Amino acid sequence: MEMAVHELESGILGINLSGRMDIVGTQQIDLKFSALTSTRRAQILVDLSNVTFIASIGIRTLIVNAKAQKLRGGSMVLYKPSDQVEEVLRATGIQAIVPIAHDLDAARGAFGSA
Amino acid sequence: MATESSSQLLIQATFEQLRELEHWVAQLGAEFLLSPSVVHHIDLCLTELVSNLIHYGYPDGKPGMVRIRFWREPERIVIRVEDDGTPFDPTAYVSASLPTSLAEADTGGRGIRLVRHFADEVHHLGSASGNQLTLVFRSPGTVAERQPL
Repeated sequence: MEMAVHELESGILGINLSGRMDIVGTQQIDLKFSALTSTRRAQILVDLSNVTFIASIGIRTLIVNAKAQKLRGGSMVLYKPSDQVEEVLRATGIQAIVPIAHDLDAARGAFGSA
Repeated sequence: MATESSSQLLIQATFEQLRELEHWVAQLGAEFLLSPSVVHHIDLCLTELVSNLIHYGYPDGKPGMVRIRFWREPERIVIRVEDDGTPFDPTAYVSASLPTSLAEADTGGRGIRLVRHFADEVHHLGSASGNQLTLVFRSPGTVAERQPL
């Protein structure tokens, strides 16, 4: 897996993940992802549009870091997962605790209410 | 190894071998004209089951072997996973309830839920020597139609 970081407008931190988010892929980004998402307060937009596959270990990583960010007063939104990835996310019910958005307006709205 | 309607894979239960599993599933899709959706569901279920086996199946730290068989029947696809790990029946596992708040959400335990969600049937047979898990995938359009020439 690969990870790229950029600042969006209004101070939102964008993290683009790409590749297969299984055990091997998640291990490749876990430390860097945690360092970015849980060590300081932020609004984190996790772009999943280039994630081709997600397993429960990948969902665990998202939840662990979303929880840590919430404790710091920040929030996380999952952005533009493919149909395949979103099907898996929704099967675990994650959308009830970490919002999923498919455009930036919806993401901004989700940050506002998270 | 593939015959006209079946294929099997034998791998060691290690994380390094998960890529072998991934490639085999992709090949199943190509050889047996499976829809992308079915390939994805098979990929996910097997990834979860084999990952679970690697994590918990060999407490002595010595990974064993797992044999995965695929066969296609007229109205369904059957996947059988046989391992020599610690007996574990995922059909008896009680999944955590769906989360209602981030604070109370469990961080783990979703793998079995995903298997049960995406496989139409899950059957377990256990013995002192290991486990046999059978997954059945039944859905319209499981097999892509061959176009007439």
